[in-house]
Amino acid sequence: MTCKEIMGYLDDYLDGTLSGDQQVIFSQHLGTCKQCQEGLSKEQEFRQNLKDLPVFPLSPAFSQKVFMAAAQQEKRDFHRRSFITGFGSAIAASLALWLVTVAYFSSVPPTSVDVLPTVAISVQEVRKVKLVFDATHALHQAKVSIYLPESVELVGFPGQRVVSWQANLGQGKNLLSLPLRALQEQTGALEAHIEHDGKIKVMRLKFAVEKPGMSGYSKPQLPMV
Amino acid sequence: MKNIVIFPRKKSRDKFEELVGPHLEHLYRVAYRFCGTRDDAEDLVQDLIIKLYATRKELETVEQLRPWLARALYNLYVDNIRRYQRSPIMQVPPNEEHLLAEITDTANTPDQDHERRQKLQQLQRMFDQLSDEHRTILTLHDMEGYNLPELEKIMGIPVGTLKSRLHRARERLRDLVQKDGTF
Ligand SMILES: [Zn+2]
Repeated sequence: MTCKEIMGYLDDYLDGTLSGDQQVIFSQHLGTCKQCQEGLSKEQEFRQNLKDLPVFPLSPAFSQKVFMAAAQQEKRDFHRRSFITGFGSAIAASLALWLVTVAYFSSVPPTSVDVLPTVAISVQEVRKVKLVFDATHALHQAKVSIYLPESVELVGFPGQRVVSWQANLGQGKNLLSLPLRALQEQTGALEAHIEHDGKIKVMRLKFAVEKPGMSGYSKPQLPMV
Repeated sequence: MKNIVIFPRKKSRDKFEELVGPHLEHLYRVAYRFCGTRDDAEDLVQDLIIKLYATRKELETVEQLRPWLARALYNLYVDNIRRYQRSPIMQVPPNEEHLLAEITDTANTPDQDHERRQKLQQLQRMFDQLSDEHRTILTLHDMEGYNLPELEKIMGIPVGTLKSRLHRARERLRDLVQKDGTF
């Protein structure tokens, strides 16, 4: 077999799904071919790295909290089944920064910006920042755009400085969840723009990105504007 | 003759906790890989536990609990992404507004050698870009070690389909990593 064919079996070899004969051919080739050996060890390293991707430790007492929540939940809402897999219990477990702001829109270009308190996060940390947006009436097909500073990116959108969505906002409080990854030690500001019907609402959130392990959240800030 | 000890009947909550508790860490790990942040992972696990608690009698009859739980987690995750993936915004139900005031503290990054940590962070960034489908199969197979026949049961998808999905997922990730040039 050629090296290319051998490399085609690499995944099966590592998954242990080669037949006995194939296994023998594979091993024999590998025993004599430096190039394929390198290919194999590179792939092994890749897989090991994938396994080693860090998992943030569970928050303390999560286990106690979660079993208690389950028992309480059952007492509390027999009839509210939809809530169980939906929104509600979700926020209870969140670690988050909550910023509540009341919706008032200005015309485009924006004449006012809500400046929110500074948030500190650590380099290489992924944290969710949650903004709560209170709409006085339902907004159909609003455009939500996030403008990011260089020091921070939105998880799943590497390198993108602006990310936009179309969204329907219900009347009342709406939660905007942004999983953010801090990239460099640097301060910067993130802006959330919500546009609807030629009007815009702008919120600016300042970031201080710190050395790993330094960050902490300040107490929840609830500026009722 | 041995002593006969009569234990008081366990409360059903304790029994549930005894069954599920040993798997909680594993479920959280899988959830973390699916979701990408601790906040979301804890939310997902909490949703699952609440849901399972309501039908806890059933759990006592399950033979292999770990893959069974992984399956329930997977299904819940798939349900959730169907519901929420289009927009990062969701409405807060009026009767749940009090929950908005809750906040807990932070975690520290696990201590690791700097260069390797950076390398892994790059890989994580690429991993985050994968589709949900690719992320879930890599999580369960390559990272958490479930084999394809197990995954057929967990995900309800035939082995053949899973196998080619796995190949495509790895290929896609290798592609992203190569383009990124960090490795
Ligand atoms: Zn070769």
